[in-house]
Amino acid sequence: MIDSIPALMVVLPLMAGVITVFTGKGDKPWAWATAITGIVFAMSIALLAEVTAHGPVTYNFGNWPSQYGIAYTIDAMNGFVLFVVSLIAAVTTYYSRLSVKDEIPNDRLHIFYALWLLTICGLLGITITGDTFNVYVLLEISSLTLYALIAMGYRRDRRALTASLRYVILGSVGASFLLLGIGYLMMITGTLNMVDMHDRLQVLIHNDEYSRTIMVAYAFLLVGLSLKLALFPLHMWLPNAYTYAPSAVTGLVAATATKVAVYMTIRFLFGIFGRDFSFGAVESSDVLLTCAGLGVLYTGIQAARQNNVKSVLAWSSLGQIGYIVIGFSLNNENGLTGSVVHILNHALIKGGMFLALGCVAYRLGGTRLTHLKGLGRKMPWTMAAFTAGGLGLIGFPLTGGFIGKWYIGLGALDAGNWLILVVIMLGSLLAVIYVFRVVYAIYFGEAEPDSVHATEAPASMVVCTWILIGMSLVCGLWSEWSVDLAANAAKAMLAGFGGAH
Amino acid sequence: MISFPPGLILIVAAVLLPLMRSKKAFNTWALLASVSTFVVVLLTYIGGDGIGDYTQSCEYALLPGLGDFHITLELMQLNAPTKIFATVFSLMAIVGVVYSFNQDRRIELPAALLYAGSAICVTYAGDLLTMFLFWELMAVGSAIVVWSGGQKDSARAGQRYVAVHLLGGAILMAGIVAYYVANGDLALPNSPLTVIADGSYHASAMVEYLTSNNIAAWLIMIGVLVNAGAPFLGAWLPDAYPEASVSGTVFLSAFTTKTAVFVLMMLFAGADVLVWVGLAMAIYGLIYALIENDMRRILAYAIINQLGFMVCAVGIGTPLTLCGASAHAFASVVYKALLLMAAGSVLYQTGKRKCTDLGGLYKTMPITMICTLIGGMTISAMPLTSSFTTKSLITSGAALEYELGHNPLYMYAWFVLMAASAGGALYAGIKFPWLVFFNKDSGLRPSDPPKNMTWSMIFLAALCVIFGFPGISELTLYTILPFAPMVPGHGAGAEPHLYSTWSASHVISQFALLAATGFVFFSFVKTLSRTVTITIDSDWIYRRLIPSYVWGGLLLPAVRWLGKGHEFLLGKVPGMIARGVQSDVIEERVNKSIELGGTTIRFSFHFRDNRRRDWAVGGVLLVITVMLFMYLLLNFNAI
Repeated sequence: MIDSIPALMVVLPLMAGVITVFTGKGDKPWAWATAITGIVFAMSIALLAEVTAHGPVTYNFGNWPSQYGIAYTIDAMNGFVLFVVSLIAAVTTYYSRLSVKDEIPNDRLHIFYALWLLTICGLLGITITGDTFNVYVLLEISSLTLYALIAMGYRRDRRALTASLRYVILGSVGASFLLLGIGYLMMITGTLNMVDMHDRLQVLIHNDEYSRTIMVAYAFLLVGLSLKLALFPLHMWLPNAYTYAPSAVTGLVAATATKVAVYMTIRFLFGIFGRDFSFGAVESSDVLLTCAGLGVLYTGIQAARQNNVKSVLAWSSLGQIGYIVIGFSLNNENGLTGSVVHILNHALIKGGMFLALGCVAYRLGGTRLTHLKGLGRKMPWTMAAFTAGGLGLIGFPLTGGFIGKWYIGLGALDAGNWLILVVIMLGSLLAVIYVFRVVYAIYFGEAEPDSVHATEAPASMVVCTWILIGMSLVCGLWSEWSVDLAANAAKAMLAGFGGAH
Repeated sequence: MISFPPGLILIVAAVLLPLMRSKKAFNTWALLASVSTFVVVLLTYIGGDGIGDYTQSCEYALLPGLGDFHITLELMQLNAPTKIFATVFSLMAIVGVVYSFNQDRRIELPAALLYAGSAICVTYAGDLLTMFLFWELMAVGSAIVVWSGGQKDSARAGQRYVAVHLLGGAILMAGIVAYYVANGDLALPNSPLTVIADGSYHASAMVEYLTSNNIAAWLIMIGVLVNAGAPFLGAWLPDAYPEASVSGTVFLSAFTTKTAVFVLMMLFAGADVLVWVGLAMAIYGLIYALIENDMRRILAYAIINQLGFMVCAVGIGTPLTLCGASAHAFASVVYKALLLMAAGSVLYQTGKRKCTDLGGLYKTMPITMICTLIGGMTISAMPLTSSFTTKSLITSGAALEYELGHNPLYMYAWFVLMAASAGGALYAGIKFPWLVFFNKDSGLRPSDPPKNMTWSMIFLAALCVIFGFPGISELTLYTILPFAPMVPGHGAGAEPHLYSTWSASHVISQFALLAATGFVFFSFVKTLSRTVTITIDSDWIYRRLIPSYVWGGLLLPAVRWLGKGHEFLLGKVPGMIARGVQSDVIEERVNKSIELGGTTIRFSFHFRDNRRRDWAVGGVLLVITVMLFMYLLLNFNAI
């Protein structure tokens, strides 16, 4: 059983997703999805424990040798990301029952949860696989289902449709860039397996063969990945997609989709091309740092201008992605550790905050700033969660958001790049502005006539919100375990392919 | 021996205080906590051998998981100036609690106790991090005090207060981190000056960092000066303090700024730049206090004026001036609280804040009037009041330093301080009591405030007078000063002796100065009392300049403009290019214009579908292409 967990991590939600269509009406699809994501979460814990204790795990599908078949390889890096994704998936699925019923036509709940499980399956698959073409396939699975999930927000706001369409087009462009890049690499290395590809690429780079081809492959992959992880200025698909998607979908996507894209980027840059090539032979460090740094500032200002709080958080996500990109672009252990640990902490914080907004939408039917005015008294628990999450976005010490920024800052110091520290400081200042703008409305605003009778959200929703926010606070106070895991992951990635040889 | 900083008692009590349901239990608990804190503060130094008697360190892995960032927090260290600062802070906590007995705001007092407790803990800090932690805790407590003020502008003032202190705290933290990087150690030596056996001394490591222009020292200094209310950094003070409640202001006046003086003294004793800062503060506070009309704002500027003396004294940095700074901190906490209590009582009884609305209250509020006069005399350094001794320690210290080294800086300092001292008499000693209690009859007939308020005022007024009595200060205050205030004897071979204020020439010159001031005031009384003013201070920068002009006038338009440019570049240009390439799809010709700054730039281009903007992905695709080309071009020759 334990041996086949890597396969089950993907196959289970895939099969379950298809079966969901036949589960019938009412709460059944939700119960089914909750059970599946719960099992997946348990498996991810087992897998992470196994990887931490005994090193990388490899699973060959159909016992084909990894050169020919599909191999799943789990090391400290993707074990950690799998844990994050399945944790968020489990919590948001349990949360979603009332929120989804409220926002999705009730005759389509089974379709919704089918798509939902397939998205999760795709995200987990991208993370777990050790095969580059498999990455592309699973990326398509997760993206295509995600487009549909986002479009399902049309009942609340029809702009969900245009947002989704835009995401479809740009996402497809990104995916095709990835496919091109993978194709070039396959062409010159003759393999799709990541470990083999890494080894052969190192030989080729060392011998100075096919250098133009490698470089073009690199450019396609990096641009495609930047688009997928919504790096400024390739971020335009994200704000509207997050804003108009159904609440639960936003919670899931914001916490996982871009994080998985970040994982892919780290895997490709460090694990396949190798850090010497990615940050030595080609000039990507400066480009990435510039884009991410400008992105942190630009998105911070944009976030402070938004009137829909979901938009505020969406723009803020872009800024946080900027920090993560800064972290790994610094190409040192502290920076990479910061990136990886911020993947977890930001997922918890942003997931929790979007779920809190989902509670607001459930009670008030919208998440504009005016909806939140004076809610501090009406929905104290939800708003306390939102505020605690906001402190995390700022990077307030004792919250999860601080830990990642701290390590990224240390990484910048190690790299001797003071400008990055300034960017982090300014970014945090902007975060103070956009968070306190909302927090001020929550606690000091006068409630609008519509929200006078609002009451605290249902317990199941508030509890899920607090699970994520509470975990982010715990990770801020007792950060040892998460930082240890992240540091292991960072060491593995800096060493090349996770030591899976 | 006491092995924890006494302020913790107040902090714990503050957390438990909201649990007290009845008003009586609430007050008793607060009083009990503050009195026991005072007793414990006394116990920490009475009976010991003196400074640096013991330290209590608390090994603590700060935020476990932050790598090798294990820090020892020295929670309890008896620093040289701790005795006098902690004593006056805990004393003020008691008086403040008594004064606020009849307030019915349930959040204010817990916050104020948290604030007072953290201020006391700052004085016992044995390293910079401990100091910083309690420093921030103070900011939290004081912000809540401002917030619960219940005045019409309290919420906004509180917001600005929080913003400024967050910024100051961030700068301070940045400085501390930089200091840690440079120094590898955050420990605080327990005395501002290392005194060598023969009476000479040398300054702290931080001053050396300052003179070598290390960024750490500058950042720390700026962070602390924000709290000290230095010009341009300290406009939050007169902005926020008058917006707090009657009792809240009393607490606020005592702790934040005096803690800043304490920290400056511990870190920067003898930094010349502080002499300039201090003089600027003395003058700036004075001018604003003279033209201000709101009685509590007058007193807020008076705080800045008096702080100028202390900051200047810290900048001179001899044992004598440091004694002067600490002693004056003690005296000024007392008389400033007294004056603010008096102003608070008037506000509490009449509901009016502006001097021009008040006047002629002496008949019905005699006790408040007498207390105000005593406070006014004390702030004017009238002989027989406490600050006659304490201010003289500073000015004499400056004069002495000039005699010894002939550094003209100290001569300027002496002149300016004397002038500012006389000016202090003008606004607080005469203007404030005159306009509120005498002058024209406003027709108001309020009585003296409730008993607890009256008795707190009487108690503080008594302190002002008692410590001014010849001989009393020497017996009491002198023993808890950071150093023994010695001055060299006159003539060859004369032994150094304890400083004494009571020389005939000094007393006469002080009286002459005050008499001249009085003459000036009554000559210009018409001008001074007619001021219905709203003064503009540098808080204008963040009240108006930043929100309206920088954000609303500059940044927001810039962002909007960028947005337009962005839209044009990404939304229109690709379409134009596309249509340029396949010219057969042109259907319409449209003129468009874009506002750039003030000038309008007109574009004329071919155009097919106006609604495509919502769907536009062309722009992003262009960016993607550009990015791809950028990577390819950048690295074309790389390999």
